[in-house]
Amino acid sequence: MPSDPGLRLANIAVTVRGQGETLPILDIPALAIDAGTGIGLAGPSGSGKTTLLHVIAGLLNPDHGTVVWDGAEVSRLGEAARASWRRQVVGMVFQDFLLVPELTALDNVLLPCGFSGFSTRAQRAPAIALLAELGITAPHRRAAAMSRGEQQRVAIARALLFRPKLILADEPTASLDAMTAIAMTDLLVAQATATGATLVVVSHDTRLLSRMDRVVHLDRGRLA
Amino acid sequence: MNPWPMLIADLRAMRWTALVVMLLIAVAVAIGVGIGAQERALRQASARAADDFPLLIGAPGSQTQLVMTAAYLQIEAIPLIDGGLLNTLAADPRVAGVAPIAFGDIVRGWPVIGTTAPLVTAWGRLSPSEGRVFRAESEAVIGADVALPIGAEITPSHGVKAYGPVGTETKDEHAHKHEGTVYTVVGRLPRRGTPWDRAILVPIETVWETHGLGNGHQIEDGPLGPPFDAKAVPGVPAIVVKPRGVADAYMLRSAYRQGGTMALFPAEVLVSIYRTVGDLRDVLLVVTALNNLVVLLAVLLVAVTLVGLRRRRYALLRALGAPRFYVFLVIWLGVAILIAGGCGGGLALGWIAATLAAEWIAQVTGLHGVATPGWPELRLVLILLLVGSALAVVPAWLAGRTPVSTALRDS
Repeated sequence: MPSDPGLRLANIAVTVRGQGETLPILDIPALAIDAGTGIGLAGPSGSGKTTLLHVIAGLLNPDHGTVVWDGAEVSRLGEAARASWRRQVVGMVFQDFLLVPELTALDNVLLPCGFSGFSTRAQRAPAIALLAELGITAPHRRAAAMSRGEQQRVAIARALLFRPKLILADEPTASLDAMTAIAMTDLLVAQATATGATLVVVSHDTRLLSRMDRVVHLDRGRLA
Repeated sequence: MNPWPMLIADLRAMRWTALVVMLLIAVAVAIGVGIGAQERALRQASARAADDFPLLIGAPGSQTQLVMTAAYLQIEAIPLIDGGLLNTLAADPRVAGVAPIAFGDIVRGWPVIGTTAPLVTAWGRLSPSEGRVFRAESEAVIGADVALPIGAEITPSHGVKAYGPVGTETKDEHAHKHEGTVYTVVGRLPRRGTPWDRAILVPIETVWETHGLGNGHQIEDGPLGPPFDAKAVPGVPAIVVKPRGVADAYMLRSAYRQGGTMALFPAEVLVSIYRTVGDLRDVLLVVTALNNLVVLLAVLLVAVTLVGLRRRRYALLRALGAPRFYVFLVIWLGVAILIAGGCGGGLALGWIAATLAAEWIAQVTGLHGVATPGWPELRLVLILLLVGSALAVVPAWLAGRTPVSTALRDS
């Protein structure tokens, strides 16, 4: 067992250079997220929520600071090792789903099989079952032909297929109607609970945030 | 690692662009393939057509015109040489065979060539596929493409060019008929793939006689061919000589390059023509290669632009944990497949174009060549494929350089 399960961020700083000056966009002295808990990241637009999510996912290297997952310092890993870590540990849901419109719902869910070492054939049945669980009963429909609600469910299925230990969701209910948003929230929380995953959700949606164990507010890149 | 689902999705997403890109490459490749295949087919066909003309003797003038007239039946009025040379040459120990070529008449657009039996049978190499070789002054042997039946009776008209479409007798041709001269078709030669397939071969004696020059012999309706024992043997435009050996050929050429005659090996003239045509082909191939390179660079530009427009899509893959190499593979394979498809299509298109061009040339000249892409064309396509595949690395590499976080935020 890892010595310190969960996510630990320390002295995270991200800056951008613009017009001859360096602008800080993220400054997090410390943030601890225990394994198996759900945490909401809230704050106004431009407060650094998505940037923080990308830092956690290893998509963005902070200028300095450390990101530690289950005792291993992810932020020290190289590009390839971080990609490998994401494949093994992380499931991501993006704000506007980022499905491949030309692929079917099932192929979208199975897309990571192409590079994750999982057999597409072996994952086909679980993927269809997961899609059915999420209410997608026509897995062979093209993503482009689906409603936004359906697309979001496919995106969630893609994130959950390999039972990730860390689920990162960026505005998963944005642009969904109220009913669908509630349903999505239920599904996401239920899936995370069922698999014991740590859930980090960026959202403005108070109904979603209220379902988290803890909500962290960000303002101008700092914890409020 | 399985890039195919994403690759197929990419190709599906840009199917029209992909189609246009492949078409563009295919046309560029087809030009090179077509030129190469056609030039080779023409060269082989023309060399084959000249095989039966080891040494040509004519009046001093244009060597090319003599070859074109005698071997390829692109008939032009050329000066005559003394017909008495036929006897001299027939008696020369260095000569294995000698035959005159005379023309000036046509039948329904097909040229009537006056000669002797050895040339009809290609020095004994050919036998008629139907009937037999002429034995009398009023008999004719036809080439494989002359649409006349055995036993047909034909009257020649004066002229060296068709008065109308080949195979039909126009009013003009009818008006120029040599009344009183009638040939009976007694034989048909097998197909040779040369302009001689369209010729009507008749005894030289009749051609002379038709034009009021006697028949070259002291008596009428005697044996055909040399020796011609008339007091004055009529002139002929060209004499074909088959030397006994290589040394004999050179000695004969040297001997008949003076004294009012011109002797040449058609192969020499062909080499000179090939050199010119080859130079032209080389220029065209260089232009085509540059054209192909420009097309490849345009494709590269399109690919870089498309990858730029789709960087969010590729950033998604990396966000999901795909290694850079996977994204590289998806993009590189995509561009390489377009280039390979274009090259393959170009090869096929070039082949089809060269075949159509060969058919057209055969219709116009009678030279039947088989235009098939050979190693030079395949090599051109392979080089393009290799260069294209190497260039495809650029957009694939650029996609891997894009920061994932930035690309994911693009709208």
